[in-house]
Amino acid sequence: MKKKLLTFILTLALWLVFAGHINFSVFLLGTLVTIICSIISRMFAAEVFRLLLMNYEVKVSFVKIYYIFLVVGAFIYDAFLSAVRVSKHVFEINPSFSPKTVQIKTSLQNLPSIMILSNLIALTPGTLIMDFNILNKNYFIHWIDVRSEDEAALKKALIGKHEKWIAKIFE
Amino acid sequence: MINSISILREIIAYVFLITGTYFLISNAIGMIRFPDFYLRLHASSKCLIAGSISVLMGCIVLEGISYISLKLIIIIIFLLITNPVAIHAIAHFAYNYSIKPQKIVKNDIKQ
Repeated sequence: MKKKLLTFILTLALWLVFAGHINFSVFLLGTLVTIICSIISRMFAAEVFRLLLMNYEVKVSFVKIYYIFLVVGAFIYDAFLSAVRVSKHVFEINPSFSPKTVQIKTSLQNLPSIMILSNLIALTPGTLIMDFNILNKNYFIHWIDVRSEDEAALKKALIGKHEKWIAKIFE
Repeated sequence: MINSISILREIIAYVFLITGTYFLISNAIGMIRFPDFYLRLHASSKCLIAGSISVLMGCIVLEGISYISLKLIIIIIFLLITNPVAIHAIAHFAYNYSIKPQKIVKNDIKQ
């Protein structure tokens, strides 16, 4: 109940930030919408609160914040780099692709870290997650442009680096 | 001094806006030109997120430190979370619906 109430208050605060002003109708509508949102998110809330309520030492917390910044930075950098590469393909007169589908095994165990890694892979230059096999923890990835095996190994190493950062945060 | 700062701010904002427009146009053209469903998803995921972040960053720089900028930052965070999830959902459905990539060079996945 406490968790649901906190989710409700946080979502209502976000609603009021978006609304920009407070009157009765905005508050009433916001209450209705946030009740629906907190009911929908109750499944995810348990996992998020479990992570928030973990007791870490001060040093470990700072290390985690450092890795969170690294992951967010990698997120935005990868998004722009991959957009530049794809837009280069778009404006080529004869666009040449060599698409490839591969599967990569991950060592991550819990669901939030697997989800964040799949988001990162979706924004890594030229990669797109097609499916995830939860039994043997395999990502099925579609790559837009892989010319040689060396390049494939390089990209796998890049995903492995992201995987290490996420493991430092969540596990 | 104040005038030069505002001019510099406008220049940075317009650079962001033009970059964003370029990415959004390349997104639209890529959706038409690319031959395959998955290649089109590549265009739509990457160019769309970079374009929209650039345009919103331009708006933030134009607006300065204000309440509207806070709203725009929240929208950017939502975009960063929701865009890859939506693209993955579409790709996951397509893969399970047996939509095979038309132009495939190598395939590591055992079918």
